[in-house]
Amino acid sequence: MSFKRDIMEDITHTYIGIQYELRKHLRRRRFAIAIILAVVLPILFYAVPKIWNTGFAETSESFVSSNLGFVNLLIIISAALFAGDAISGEFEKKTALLTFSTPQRRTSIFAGKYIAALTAIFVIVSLYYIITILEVIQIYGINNVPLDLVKSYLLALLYVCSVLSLTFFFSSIFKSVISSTLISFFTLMMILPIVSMLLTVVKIEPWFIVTYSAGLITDVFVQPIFMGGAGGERGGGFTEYAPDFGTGVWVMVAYAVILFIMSIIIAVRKDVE
Amino acid sequence: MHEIKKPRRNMFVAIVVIALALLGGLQTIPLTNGENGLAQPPPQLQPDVKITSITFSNNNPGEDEEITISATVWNNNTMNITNVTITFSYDITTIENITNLSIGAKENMTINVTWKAVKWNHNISVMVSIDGMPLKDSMMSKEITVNAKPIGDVLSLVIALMIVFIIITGTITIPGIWKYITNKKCK
Repeated sequence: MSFKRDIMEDITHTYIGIQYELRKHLRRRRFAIAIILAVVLPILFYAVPKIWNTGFAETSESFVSSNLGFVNLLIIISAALFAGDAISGEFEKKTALLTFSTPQRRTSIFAGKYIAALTAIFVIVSLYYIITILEVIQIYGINNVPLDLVKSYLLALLYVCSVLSLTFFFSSIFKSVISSTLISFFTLMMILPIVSMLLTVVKIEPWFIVTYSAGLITDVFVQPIFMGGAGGERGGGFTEYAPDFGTGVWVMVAYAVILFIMSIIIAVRKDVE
Repeated sequence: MHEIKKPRRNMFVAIVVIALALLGGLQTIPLTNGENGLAQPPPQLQPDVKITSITFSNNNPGEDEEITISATVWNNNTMNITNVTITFSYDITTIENITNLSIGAKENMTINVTWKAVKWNHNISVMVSIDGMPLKDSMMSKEITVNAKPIGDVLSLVIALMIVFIIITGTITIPGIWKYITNKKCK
C-alpha cells in the first residue's frame, strides 16, 4: 500500500511540477518569442515569393522540405530558451535549497521541468507544421499535402527529445545559467555540425552525431537521392553522406534517454553551496 | 675495257655495305615528335563505329528498380564489322558486356541491357571495342538520377517516441521503487 502511495505521490509531484513550469513558461516572454518564431519563419517562405512574385517550388515536397529546413533551428533555440537554465538556474539562484524542505523528490522536480519544456517545444513545433500545412493547402491544394509530413513531424518530435536531453545534460553540469545555455546552444548549432563536417571530409560517416541524424526531418521528402551512408564523390573528392533512417532514429532515442538519465543523476547528486 | 682492280672493288663493296647498314639503322631509330621525345605509334585506320544514342526505359527511376538501357551503335564503314563488344557501365562499374556482335555496313544496331538502379546520380557510359580493343571516340555517356526509396515508417517512429516517454516517465517512479526495495531488505 505504501509502495503504491509512494509511486502515486511521485507522479502527483511531477504533475504539479509540470503545471508550475508550464505556467512559468507562459508568464515569461520566452514562450511568446518562440511562438512568434514558429509563426513568422514558415510565413516568410510563403510571403517572400508571393510579394516578389518569384513563384513557389514546383512540387509541394520541395516547398515543405525547404520550409522545414528551419525547424531544426527553431528546436535548438526553443530548447535553449526553455531548458538552458532548467537545472543550472536552480543552483545559481540557490532555489535548489528549497528542495530540502519540500516533500518532493529532486527527480520529480527535474522530470517535471523536462516534461514541461518538452510540452512547450512540442506546441511550438506543432504550430510550425500546422502553418506549413496550411501554406501547402493554399498553394498546391489539399490533395498535394505530402503524407511524409507525418514522418517528418514525428522525427521532429524525437529530435526535440534528444536536443532537450542534451540541453538538460549541460544544464545539470554547469552551475551558471549563461554557461549552460550558451554551451548547449553552440554545441548544437556549431560544434556538432563542424565535427560532422570534419568527419565527412576524412570519409567517416558521422552517424553517431544527433545533428547529422536531424537531417532526416527533411530527407523523408525524398529530396536527397541518396540515403544512408556515402552518396558518392563530388568535386574535389568530397564524399557526401546522408543519415540512414533506422540508425538516425535510434541515435536520437539514445541521446534522449541516456542524456536525460545522466542529467537527472548529476542534478540529484549535485551539491547546493 | 677497264677492269676494276681488286682493292678498289673491295672498297666499293665496303662502302655499299656501310651505306646499307646505315640505312637499316636509321629505320630502327624510333620516330619522335620533337616535343616530349616519345615514340609515336604508326598511324592506324580505326573502323568508324560509334554509339549514337543512349536511352532509358525510365529517366527517373527509383532505387532497385530494373530499367532497360538501350544503346544504338552505328557502323559508318563500307564493310561489315565482326567481333564487336559493347560495354555498358555506370560511373566506373561495368553493368554488362555484350560480345561477339556483327554490325553490317552502314547499319544501326540497338542493344538493350537491364540494370538494377542504384541510388544517386550516375553517368551511364557505353563503349565499343573490336577484337577486345576499345575504339577511340566511340564512347557515349548520359546522366541518370536514381531516387532513393521512400524512407522510414510511421510505426517505428511511434515506437521510438513511446520508448522515450516510457523511460522518462519511468524515471519519476524509480526512486519510489528503489526506496521500497531497500526498505524491504532492511526489514
